[in-house]
Amino acid sequence: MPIIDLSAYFGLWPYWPIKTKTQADLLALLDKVGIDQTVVASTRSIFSECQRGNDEVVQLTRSSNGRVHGFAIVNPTDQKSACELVKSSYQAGMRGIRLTPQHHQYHLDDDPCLNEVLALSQDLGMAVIIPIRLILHWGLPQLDVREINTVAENFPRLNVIISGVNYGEFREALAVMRRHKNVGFETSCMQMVNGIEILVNKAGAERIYFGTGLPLMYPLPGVYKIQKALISERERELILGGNAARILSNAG
Amino acid sequence: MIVDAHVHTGGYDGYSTDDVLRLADRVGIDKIFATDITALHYDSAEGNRKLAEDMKRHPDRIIGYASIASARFGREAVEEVQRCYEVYGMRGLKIIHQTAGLGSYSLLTTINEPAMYSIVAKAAEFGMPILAHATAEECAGLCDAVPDAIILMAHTGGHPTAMGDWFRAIEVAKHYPNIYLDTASSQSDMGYLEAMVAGVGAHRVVFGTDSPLIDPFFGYAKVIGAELTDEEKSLILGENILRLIGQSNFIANRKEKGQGNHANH
Repeated sequence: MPIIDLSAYFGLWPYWPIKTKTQADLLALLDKVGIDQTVVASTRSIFSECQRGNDEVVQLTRSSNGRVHGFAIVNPTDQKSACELVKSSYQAGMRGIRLTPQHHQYHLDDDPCLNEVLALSQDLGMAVIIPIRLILHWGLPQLDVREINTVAENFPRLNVIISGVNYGEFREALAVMRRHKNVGFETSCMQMVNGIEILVNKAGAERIYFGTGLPLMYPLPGVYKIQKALISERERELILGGNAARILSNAG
Repeated sequence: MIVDAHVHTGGYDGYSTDDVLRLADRVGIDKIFATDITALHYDSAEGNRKLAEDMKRHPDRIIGYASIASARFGREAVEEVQRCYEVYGMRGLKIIHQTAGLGSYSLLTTINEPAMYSIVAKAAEFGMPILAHATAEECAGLCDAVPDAIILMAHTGGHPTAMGDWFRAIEVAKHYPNIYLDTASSQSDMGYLEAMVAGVGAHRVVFGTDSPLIDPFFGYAKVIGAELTDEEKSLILGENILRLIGQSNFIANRKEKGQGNHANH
């Protein structure tokens, strides 16, 4: 079973210099820590030009021999193009989108354009990752994890994945997952002791996705937290790649 | 030898001291340098006494930080530091700025205030490294006020009050040779450990995990996965903190023999 990182980025980082900037850098980093495949989103799309960043990711995925996949960053405040972007991303092979409302200045509840984007994603079978913070950095803006309840409730067939949760939001994230069976959890920012074990016991391994936040976060700690968790080998395989493979293989 | 210089014992997050040691065992950590939760957040005397009992039960595994809940206990706090050093054999001091309400992170007290200086000066007299959970500017202020103090900047800016700003923490530490940088943090911004080493040298970077609040596997993997030499990792993972503790032990031995208390930092 390949190890698949569901939460990575491609592009520059406006807050400090990073070393991993090219496709070659990215693949070398994956090799170094033993990750077979990764799913990237564009930082350019978050901070600057949404469409251009997603196009760069599409180019990257097409020349990476199946090792790099892309999720589109969608900004629903751009009402004219948001749904078109979802469609074109799907046609380009992307099997999920990422929302960053804390960076694009909107809320998850009661935004008509967002609801169109989510309805379309649900129809296409695309997963929606919602990071409450981009990476675990205390200076970054943060989303209230409880806002995700609305999305999960309004779109019960949508595969919603909470990302960016650490110990401070863990109980709230579990509460969202308890209320909504269509909500999963991505692990990159969860640094607490026994966090993986608790998630497996409370929500089931089928809803947990390995993520690293690379190349903005060191990837090895992300790998370690799954490899060292006291869970069964079947659960570990699901988390490390089985669940992500299910999303990526969606034929629509 | 691997030494985790930032650990909490005494029931933090429901983990007993023995649980914390078992976690360390799983990672391969030989010794923990620990503060007691009660001492740090409620009753220094009671908590430090509890840690001293833990140290007696595990003399080869636990090194103790005296913890002071607030500088505002004045003379009592200074005497507590002295008791922890002389009676309990603790070799470090932990101080933290107090926050008004969980999660709010608004400052109630800063560690950089005159009331703290006599406490820090007492620790400096004993060569105790001071694990200071504070901003870079607060640590710099302490160094200005007590130039002999050895400050281990807890989290190196990687905590909410310092807004996660390790870059700023390193820049400040460059100007203060007595400031050491702690690797413990939920943050694992890629390249930040390399930046610490480039900024102040590997001999001033100290491995910590914040266990059991943070998974020690996470903190350990950050260091072993960083692009550093094996020598640099050895310094960070244990040699540096053992060197600092050694200085404090040296002072303790000289005091026992009545030979004064000067050591080279």
